[in-house]
Amino acid sequence: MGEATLFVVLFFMVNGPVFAQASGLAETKLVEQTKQTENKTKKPKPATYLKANVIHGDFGLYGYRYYFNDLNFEIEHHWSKRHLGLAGFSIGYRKEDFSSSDYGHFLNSKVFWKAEKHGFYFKPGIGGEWGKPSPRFERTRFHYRGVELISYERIYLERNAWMPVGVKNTGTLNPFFELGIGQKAGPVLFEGGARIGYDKFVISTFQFKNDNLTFQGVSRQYKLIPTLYVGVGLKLF
Amino acid sequence: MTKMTRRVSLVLLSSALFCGCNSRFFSPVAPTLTPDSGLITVNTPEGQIGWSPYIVVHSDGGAVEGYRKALTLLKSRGMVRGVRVGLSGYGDTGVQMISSLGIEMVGIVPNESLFDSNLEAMIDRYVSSYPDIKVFQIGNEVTTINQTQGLPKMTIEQYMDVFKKIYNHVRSNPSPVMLMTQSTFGSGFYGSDELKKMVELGLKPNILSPQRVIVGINVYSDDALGEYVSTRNQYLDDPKQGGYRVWVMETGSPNPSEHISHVRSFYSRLASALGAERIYWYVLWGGDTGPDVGFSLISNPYDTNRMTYSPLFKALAGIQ
Repeated sequence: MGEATLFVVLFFMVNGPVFAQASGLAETKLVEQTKQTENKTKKPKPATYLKANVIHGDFGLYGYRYYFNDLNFEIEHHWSKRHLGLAGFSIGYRKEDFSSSDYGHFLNSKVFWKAEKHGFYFKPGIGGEWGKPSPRFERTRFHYRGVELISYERIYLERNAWMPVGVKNTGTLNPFFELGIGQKAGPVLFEGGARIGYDKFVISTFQFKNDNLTFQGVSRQYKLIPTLYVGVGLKLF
Repeated sequence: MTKMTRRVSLVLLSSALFCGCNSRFFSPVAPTLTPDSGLITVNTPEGQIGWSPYIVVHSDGGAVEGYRKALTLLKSRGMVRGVRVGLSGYGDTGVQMISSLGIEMVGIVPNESLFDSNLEAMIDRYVSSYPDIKVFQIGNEVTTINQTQGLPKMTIEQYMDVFKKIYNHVRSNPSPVMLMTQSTFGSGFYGSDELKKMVELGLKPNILSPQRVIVGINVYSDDALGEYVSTRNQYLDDPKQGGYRVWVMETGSPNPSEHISHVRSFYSRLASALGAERIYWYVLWGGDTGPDVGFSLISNPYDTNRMTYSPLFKALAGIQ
């Protein structure tokens, strides 16, 4: 049921501009042409959008396959002129793992550059995300000889940030990069792209010798978390 | 045009929000059952599940024959390797029966024994009375259930003092018994916060050796699982000195028709995300009346001819 609904939503997102044109709204073209003419002579106006993105992950990491979908809502502001070369910024909220309301909450913020032509734009961005992760990246690999446990390896996200709810200091704060392409259709944005997280993982290994647990060591590694996103934005003002 | 586009966009935004809520599309499925999870694959009417062959058994002299019948069925299929038993006094007929079946045991030293004025003598009595038990759990949920059992309140600070006293005595003793910490509470973040406090109060590899201590926790809910995972990663596993073996000493569902789905969705996450080496099902029999009835795998163990089994038990034992 959920997948079917989402398919319809995605279909509309991708085909939104086409629908808008195919709806037989002839005056649209006229208005657009007038606007384009005005744009050539006027400075671009600042704009603020409410955006909703579906973020999709499907990749392998440390021998495990990950497949997930998250939702991200953000307020994105486009400046009328560049500030330090930047075209705008956003603040947002991402929810991962809808099976629990106790974790998987993130606040994020980013700045972005933008190159725009014929209503299409290319928009690379960089930002940071703080929140309480779900346990989806936490894995333990047990090694058995028959029924006897001989060693195990734990792989998990390093907790590096203060967290006001639940157990203290179990949050994460990590950077991410975005590469988006999109199209403006009146007050609506249609956008898709790649969102790449840069998360720090801890790998601890343990061995059993004569049934005694022995710590073998720990290593820390940064890993890229590649995801794709597609979304729609509505101009607020 | 503008009005229509705005309407379409509002519909799209609302749809994205609605389909996100409680949709399987946005909720992860349990990790695939792999050999490295340490779980046993069991075919059930609801599909394959990963089972950890450990069960909680309440001490009850009248139920011993029912327990024998049930555990024999499970043992013959390799579905039970160990049980956790509450020790009642210093000679428990149930413990002797379980031992005779070749099933490994974790014995819970009762909470009331933690108030003993001579803790060293107390633990020595339990160790000598139960030579087949190699792991002794020192109390269970002591800060939450003592009052309900009519016992004095025990803070986590007092508990850790007791645990360290017993640990220091056992460590100097040639007996190779292992100690297990009390199981922390299984819902919300009370238990994980308490586990964090236990770490701050000395549950550290350089103070309490992981070669003599196992950490026990109870996990019944998804929110508790998430908090325990975070707490283990941030506090319990020391980056320089390693960490402890973690055993989940209680998990289960109060509704027999959901036992199988609980195991299917929860066990693989306990093993994989939390790194639980063992998972004990609560409970073989929780009484035929009272709040724990629904958790039971069997009922009527006082009369083995009238004994009935939950769907999970039937799947594990391979009976109809």
